Amino acid sequence: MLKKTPMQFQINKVFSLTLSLVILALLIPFFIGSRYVFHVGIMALMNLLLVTGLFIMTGLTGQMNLAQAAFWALGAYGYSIMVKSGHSFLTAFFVVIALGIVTGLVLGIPTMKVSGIYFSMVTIGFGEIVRIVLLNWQNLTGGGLGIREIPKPAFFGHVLNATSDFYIMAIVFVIPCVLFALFFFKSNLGLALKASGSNKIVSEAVGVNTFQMRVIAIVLNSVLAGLAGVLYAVYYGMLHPDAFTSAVSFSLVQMLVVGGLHSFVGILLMTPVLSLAFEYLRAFGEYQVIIYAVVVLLCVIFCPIGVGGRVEKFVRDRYVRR
Amino acid sequence: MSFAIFMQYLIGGLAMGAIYSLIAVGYSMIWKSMGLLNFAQGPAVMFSGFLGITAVTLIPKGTNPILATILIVLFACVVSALIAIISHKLVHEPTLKTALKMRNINYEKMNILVATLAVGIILENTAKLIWTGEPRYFALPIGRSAIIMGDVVFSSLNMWILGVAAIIVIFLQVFLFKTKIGKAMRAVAQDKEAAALMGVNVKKSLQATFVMAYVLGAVAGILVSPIIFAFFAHGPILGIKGFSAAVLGGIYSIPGSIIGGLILGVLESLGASILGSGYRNAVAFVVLIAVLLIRPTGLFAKKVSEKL
Repeated sequence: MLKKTPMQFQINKVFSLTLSLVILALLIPFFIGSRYVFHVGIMALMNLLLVTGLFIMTGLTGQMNLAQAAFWALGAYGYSIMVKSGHSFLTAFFVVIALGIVTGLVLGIPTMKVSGIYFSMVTIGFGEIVRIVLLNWQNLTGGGLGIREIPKPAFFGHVLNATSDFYIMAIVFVIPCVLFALFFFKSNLGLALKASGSNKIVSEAVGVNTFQMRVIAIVLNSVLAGLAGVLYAVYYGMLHPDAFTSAVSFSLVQMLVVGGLHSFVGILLMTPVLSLAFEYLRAFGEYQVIIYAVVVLLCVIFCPIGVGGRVEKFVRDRYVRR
Repeated sequence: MSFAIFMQYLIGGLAMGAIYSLIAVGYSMIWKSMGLLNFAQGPAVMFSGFLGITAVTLIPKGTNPILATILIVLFACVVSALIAIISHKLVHEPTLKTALKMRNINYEKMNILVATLAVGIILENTAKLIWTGEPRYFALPIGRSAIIMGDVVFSSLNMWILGVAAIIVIFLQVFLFKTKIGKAMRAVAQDKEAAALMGVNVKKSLQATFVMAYVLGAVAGILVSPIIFAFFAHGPILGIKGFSAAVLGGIYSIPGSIIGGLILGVLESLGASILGSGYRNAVAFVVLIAVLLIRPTGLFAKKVSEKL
């Protein structure tokens, strides 16, 4: 067996410390036990899923997605419509994944040649069209009334009802996705994706098909957002198009930038913090959104690599020497 | 659809289109000079609609309607110009400065976009705080009567909008081509370094461009609010319609943006009459996506857009 070098030892120390902190953080709501804390936890995990998708699409390939709420809504509506029409949870779940893939391809393939700000405008247009269709297609989506009384799923004969059940479900959803993302970034495909985002010409010169990479990123994003949509539909049990406005998409992009555009660790760190902050800023009533926007502005001006990115850089420089 | 109804839709569409043109010109100016898409533009238009509501209450009842309107527009323009200067000094300049230090094009683009988004959100919620979250009717003193031509009936407000927009566009052309600061703005838009070498104050010109864009937006806000009500959530929609108009006509050309706005307004109005008014807003987005996919340079542009 190889002897452990100090560097490996340090990485492992950092790794195990992080792991135990993560587990502790996930258990906090059980210690406190109030429904509100569980609710905030579910929101944080849902945001984490959405921002992970955004990170793959916007952070890695550099295509700003301003319609994350629309992808989210498609997942939620797809799930609810399937369940309402009498299908099981699993069927609906796989339909949402398929829907996510189809949405990703439908948006990704025609827009392959559009990039930069033009692409973000296409996504804004896409987001608004989705919302308008959800509002107006009365027969399918319930229009302005939304969808109500979505049946709660049951696992092993236990119907999910308490807030803590949904919290556990959110954890079950989020952890595989985050692990998948972590492994994905280390894989060849993930590295190619990263390369296509950081320098298009160079990556094409070494044989990366940048168009393909972009489509893959959009598909992954839309599947992850669809899963978040399933969580939303299951947790709330009702849907309304107004929950998926462009303002929601904007706030998710803000979370991404504050977390760190190129730092997944930073995002894992900051998204829950920001979700918590957003919930607790409700104490300021109508000033909540303004304060949040000012915080984002300060972050963009004074810490352009993101607060989470800064923390990651600090830890890396300090404890993981190369 | 009978001819009279078609004409009514056409006139309504042209009036809305003229408003989109004003917003589109603002986008086009900022885009040309800074390569920057300003997401705060739409909220600024919305904000000036509310400024108009406040101005109406400040003006005494018996004033001549045309004079009152001019005062309202002036008030909105001045406040919007102040907003432009403040947001430029406090947000755009520092963001651009830190972003340039990063030497990473992704950070640069995203950070400035997010910064303008944040400014837009602040504007929206400030409007919500000051003027409540309800849609509010804005009674412009002019354009209250109806014009009847045979079977065709429409509000005289539409004519006023078209007239004011035309005057503003002519003023803008004179300003850009005849005055010193306008020429400086055009020079900076063309080539910053060359302009700086010729003794143009680039910083000042950029700021002037911003102010001009916001002033155009303020006029658009005053004109649009009597039609669609002043409502804090209208910002992004107005913004994206202005941008769609600019892209439709070619975002690098100001006349293109104006024509794009008019086309978009008419398409939207006719589209709403065919598909139903619920899909009215979708028309602009479909047009935007179609143009971007088929001809990203816009209908009237000469210059090829950058693809990277």
